[in-house]
Amino acid sequence: MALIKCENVSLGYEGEVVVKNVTLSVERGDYMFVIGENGGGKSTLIKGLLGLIRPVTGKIEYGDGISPHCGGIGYLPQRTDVQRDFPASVREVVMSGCVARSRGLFYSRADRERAHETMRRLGIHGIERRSYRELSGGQQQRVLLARALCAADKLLLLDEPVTGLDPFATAELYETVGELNREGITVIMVSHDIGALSAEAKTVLHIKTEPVFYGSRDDYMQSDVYKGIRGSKNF
Amino acid sequence: MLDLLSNPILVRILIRAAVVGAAVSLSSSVLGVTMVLRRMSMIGDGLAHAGFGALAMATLLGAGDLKTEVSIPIVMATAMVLLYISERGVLGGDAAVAVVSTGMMTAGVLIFSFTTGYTADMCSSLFGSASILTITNGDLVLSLLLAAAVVIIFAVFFNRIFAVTFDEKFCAAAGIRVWAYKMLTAALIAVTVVVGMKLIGSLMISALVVFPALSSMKLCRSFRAVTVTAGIISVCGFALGFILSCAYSLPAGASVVAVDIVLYVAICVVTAIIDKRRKMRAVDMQSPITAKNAENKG
Ligand SMILES: Nc1ncnc2c1ncn2[C@@H]1O[C@H](COP(=O)(O)OP(=O)(O)OP(=O)(O)O)[C@@H](O)[C@H]1O
Ligand SMILES: [Mg+2]
Repeated sequence: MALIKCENVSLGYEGEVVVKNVTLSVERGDYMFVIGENGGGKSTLIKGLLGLIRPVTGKIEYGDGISPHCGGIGYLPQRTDVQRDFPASVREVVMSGCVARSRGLFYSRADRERAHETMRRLGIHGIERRSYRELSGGQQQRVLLARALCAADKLLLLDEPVTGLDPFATAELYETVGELNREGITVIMVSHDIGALSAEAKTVLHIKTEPVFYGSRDDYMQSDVYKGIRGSKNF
Repeated sequence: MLDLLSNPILVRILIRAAVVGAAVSLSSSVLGVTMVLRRMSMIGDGLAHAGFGALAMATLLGAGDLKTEVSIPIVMATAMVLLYISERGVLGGDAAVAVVSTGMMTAGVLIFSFTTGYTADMCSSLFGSASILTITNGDLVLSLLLAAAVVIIFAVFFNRIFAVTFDEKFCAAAGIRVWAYKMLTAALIAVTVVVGMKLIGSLMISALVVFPALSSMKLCRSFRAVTVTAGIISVCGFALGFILSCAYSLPAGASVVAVDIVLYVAICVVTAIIDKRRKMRAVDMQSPITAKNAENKG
């Protein structure tokens, strides 16, 4: 059974539709890239899948034990509402990814180990005790990423995760996410990184108010849409 | 002041007021940290004003000595209405607060002038009691229950409270009932405001929510440290303010808030000086070449 299934879903804000006719089915273990130009509705679709906004029409169905508001989903927003000057240690922020997953009210040993491991992978274990507000933009991005990775037991949604990361951190990110995916975690990633798409993606959703392509990566690389964006310089 | 202390009845009244004040200061500041960080501190202020109206309604209902107890559910209901309105975006965030708080204030003034007239009662709920004689044993019990509830809830749910305070959207996606935490904070702050109103005054009680939180945010780097320090600063500030108010016969509310403000300003100045020193030392320690590079980079 599909993890997430959308049937002719349209999404929008205050009744104004910005994405429409989305029909897709995300299988367990999938690694889907969502691409498209600015304002195409990628972030809106992600918020819809997370249940942060309600579909205007259509229905989103969840299977395989996941559903929004039930835990096991890690999310990295494109722009957070988090204040840059929030007084919290890096450790506190990363650990907060474990909050929904941990059964009890306190963090378990496994949670702590996982947080530590994730911080190590993303190269922020050295700044564990520093305050979030003292970090650079890219470091803050890594911290939020680590939090999302800690929360993801079944599904990971990343909205332009490499924004602000240096090349090393970017490579590390793709490797970490790829590893999680091989471990069975389903990944949906919004990205403008065509290079990463051809290396990592299993399926591709190209969206421009409505899906202009949805299918496997190999089909996408053969498609006219792909050739169009390769040919034009304005992507 | 010394001759006051020789009278056992007065001493008991003083201690009762001090305990109520300390309990309220502790709860307000601990709640204040998450309220300030979530940009909800205006809701605290609105509720304090609503508390005045609620107290008037309680008087109208003939609550007598149980005014505080009757006001609490009214203010809690107001808190829920406020949350609902600001959540739904019916009115922009702080417009909702302004509408509700001024509405309740007006109701309060009208009720007071129709019933008892402008009395000491009304004055004390606005500005805090000039005399601490009005604090009852009921207030004492309520304030201790409140402080215990706040401390226990924060100790047990600390991780979740942090997560929700830090990023609501993430928590909603991850499956935490954000709504429940919001209601809980609003309900606790509603009780705090009502219990603290008699002593501090509804016009000033939100200072106890905001200042200790701001002070400790200047000093600490982790959320845990900020929360604990805010509580400590607030209780110490209350103790100092209360002693000053007894010594110079000032209204307790005003003198406690004055101490909190002075503390905040002092902390701002001291941290600014320390920061500057540290930066200067950092520049001194750089070798001439790297210092030059840094300059070039701007
Ligand atoms: N909170 C909002 N309220 C109203 N309209 C919005 C909101 N967020 C986005 N929109 C509108 O929805 C459309 C799609 O926005 P969305 O953020 O989904 O684009 P995107 O594909 O993620 O773009 P980008 O590549 O720039 O991130 C835009 O036209 C935008 O103006
Ligand atoms: Mg976007």
